[in-house]
Amino acid sequence: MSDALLMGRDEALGICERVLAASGADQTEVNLLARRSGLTRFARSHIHQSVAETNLQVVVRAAIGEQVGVASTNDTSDAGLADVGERATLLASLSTPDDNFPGLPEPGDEPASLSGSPATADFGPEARAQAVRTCIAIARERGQTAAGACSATVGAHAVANSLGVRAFAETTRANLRMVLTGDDSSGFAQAHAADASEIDAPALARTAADTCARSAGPRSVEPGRWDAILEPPAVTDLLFFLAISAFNGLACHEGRSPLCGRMGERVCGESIALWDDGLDPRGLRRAFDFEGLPRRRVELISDGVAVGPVHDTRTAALTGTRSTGHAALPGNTFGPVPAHIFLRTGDATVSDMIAATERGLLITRFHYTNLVDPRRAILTGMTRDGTFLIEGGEVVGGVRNLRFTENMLGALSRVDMIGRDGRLDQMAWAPALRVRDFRFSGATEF
Amino acid sequence: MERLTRSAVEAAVSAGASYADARVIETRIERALVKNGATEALVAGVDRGLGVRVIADGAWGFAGTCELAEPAIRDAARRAVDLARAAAPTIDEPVRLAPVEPAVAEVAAEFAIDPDDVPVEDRIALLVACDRLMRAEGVAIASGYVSVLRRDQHFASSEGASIFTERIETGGGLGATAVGEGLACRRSYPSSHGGRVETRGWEVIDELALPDHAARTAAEARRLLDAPACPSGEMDLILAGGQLALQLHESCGHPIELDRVLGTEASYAGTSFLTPDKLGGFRYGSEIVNITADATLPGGLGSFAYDDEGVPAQRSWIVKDGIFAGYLTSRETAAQLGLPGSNGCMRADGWARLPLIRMTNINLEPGDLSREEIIASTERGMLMEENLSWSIDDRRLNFQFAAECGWLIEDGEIAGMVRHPTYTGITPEFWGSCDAVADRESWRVWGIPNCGKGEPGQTAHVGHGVSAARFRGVRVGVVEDE
Repeated sequence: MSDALLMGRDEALGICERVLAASGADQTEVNLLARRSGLTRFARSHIHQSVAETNLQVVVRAAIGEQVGVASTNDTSDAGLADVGERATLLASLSTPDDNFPGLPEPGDEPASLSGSPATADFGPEARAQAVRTCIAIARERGQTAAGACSATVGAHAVANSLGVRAFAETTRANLRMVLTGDDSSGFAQAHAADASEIDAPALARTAADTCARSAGPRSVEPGRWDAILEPPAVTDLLFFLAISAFNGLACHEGRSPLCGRMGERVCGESIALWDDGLDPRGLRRAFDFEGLPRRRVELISDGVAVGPVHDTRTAALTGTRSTGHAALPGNTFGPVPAHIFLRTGDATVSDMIAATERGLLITRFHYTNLVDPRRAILTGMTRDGTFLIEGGEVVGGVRNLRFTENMLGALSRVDMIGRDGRLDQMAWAPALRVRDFRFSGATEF
Repeated sequence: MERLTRSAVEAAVSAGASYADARVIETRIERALVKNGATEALVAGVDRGLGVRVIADGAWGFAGTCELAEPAIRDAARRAVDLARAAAPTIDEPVRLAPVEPAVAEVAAEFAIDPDDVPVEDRIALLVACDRLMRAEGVAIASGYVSVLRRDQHFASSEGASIFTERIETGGGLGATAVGEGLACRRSYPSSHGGRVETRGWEVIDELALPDHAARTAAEARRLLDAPACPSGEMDLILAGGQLALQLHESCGHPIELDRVLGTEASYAGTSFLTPDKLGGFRYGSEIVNITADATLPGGLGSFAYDDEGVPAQRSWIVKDGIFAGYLTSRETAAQLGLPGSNGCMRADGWARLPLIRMTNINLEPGDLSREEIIASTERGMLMEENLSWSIDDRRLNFQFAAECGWLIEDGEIAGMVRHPTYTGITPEFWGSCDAVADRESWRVWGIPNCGKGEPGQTAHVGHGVSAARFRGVRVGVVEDE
């Protein structure tokens, strides 16, 4: 009897084996992705979406020499699996050669064995609705309205290739995020966890409610350079964009990364250490990538010095190194990116940072952040859901939202205080930072 | 397909749903990308499944499954009812739907050249030819891509609707990136967001004439390396092509989604400054700004015959003579606002997602000057056409965009190229400064195939009909050089 939450190793790899056995290509790789997910979404203090999804996708990469084709299906009948393998092989035969295709990876180190959380598998619609009702009740007590989403996902991922790579894992993800809104302010809180029982809905709701209440009656401040204390959600947002542009092995090879020609150089302050680690238990762990290779810890910035990037087998071959286990699903041409980013902690609390700031801003989170110029690591975005003015070492009230336009490596060179605790967003874990002279380029009306 | 949707609807009603609809969808996607001489992606995907949406105990529930056997479908319908019942204790008022006449229809895709008649080898050969032309100009990265999507869908509802729809989307484009000292400069043809994608056949690719534009696209990317940086200050700004389409998308298309206005995206994408008290009286733009939502435009990526609630495609005013005139609605939000019916904007990203209010084709109606006349009457300004970066606040007021390339205008003439131009503004002030809109001669519908919204995330394919427009006194050059 299997104790699988969704699909066991034998069943998942068995489907992969059926595709491999029927393939006529020189090399074949199969990714199997199964998922069962549910999400409860709320707004205006009631649930307005309560949804569930069950899906199983098979993605086949076939190679004939250096010609590669990719086909996918979610029809796992005998006919469906036969068809997807044949289509991948046919496409490979019609493709022009990719001289940079190094072949599929050989088996190497066995990926770590990770398992999902039964509590997350059991976090069904009733339990999610209960968590949401708790948040709504706390919002109502404070005269606020609640909006957000609570989700749980159980997934199974298997990779097998014709050279002998075999990898399998079950994963679980739970998330609760919310924005509580008052007359002229709002507050944000969220938690991600593999184990749904670690999500403390009342605590999150109280955090969001407090932020909303404290930022009421916002005043306008002028854009310009401000000493800014960035709470962890703001930091992780910036790190995500820096990571995908600067430490993408393909972007580095093609000359699109801000770190092109700068690896080994000091690119930001010595206090900054950034790395990617798919096995760190503080993150949402994944043991292997979409080529079935173990995700290795990769130093991205070490004491201010650029060290990365991350690689799949193709970008590793292009640069004469080995894969770090960061391949994307075949068909994705964006390149390998860090997906489990960690920023080294310091020794300050956010309260310490506020007390040490004569005049500055406290930022809860950013909204709609985007790369303005990836080659120069310039980002823009808006503050949201809790932006505060600090004067004389104290928070003196909320401020209307501001737009930042800032060079990220420059900002990381001006960090002078780092939080001693961190928080997880989906792909990054980071402490709060105080950044001197963070550049705000505009303002808005609320 | 009809048997499956009927079965799901019947099972949901049997389980206690007061309303149910179901969509069974099969999607086939083919995509080819040639980059620097190699076929970097040649992909064919098949995806099928069924989604069932119900109202039970006054609340919504939805379940999607990839298993199309009867037991799995009936199970999905029962789960949707259970999901609705879990939500019901939190609602203040039961969901009400504006009326719609249940349609029974079959809608065929419209195309001149069936993409299936174009062999994969020919698609690759086209892209390889473009790739050679671009790389001959010395760019570091040359890429060309084509994509074809075919979707068959059947919709059925407990009110008696039964609609079979066939859809084809075809698109393609080119991109060239030149790399220099500390710079990476990109040019795209015809647009940076998926090239051009339309609900037509392979004639879209033929009309693009990709090889005719390959060398110019690459040469402009190289020229950008030597172009001056964007100056900082206020000047007149002329937007055209994909950049004007995205400006319209972000600062008009999203804030008119009535679900967003009523707060259901508050925790994620945000809300809207266009609150219901502004409907019919708020000055959104200058008097020459006229904006429509039109799902009936032939070939538009936001065109369809019926939305995913079975409401027929419509054309409606969004901004008339500069005044805010209408929203994009669903049956539920139309009822909430007391409107007589939905204007048909509910669409889902496949079978596994609940329909949301999405843009159709949101169009800036043409004006009466030619594009050339607008440039000729601009003393000092800048023309921006292809988007590079975008960001806007959570009420859709403060925006900032970067374009691939800017063209300085001095004394009514193009005076040179500018690298990495940016501009910023506040939505009603910006559209209020619009003093010229180009005529139908340069008006076309631009597809945007990557519009994100909702949790779980959904991607919509939408369109924007635009020509060119001029905005007075816009702040450009937002990035400080360090």
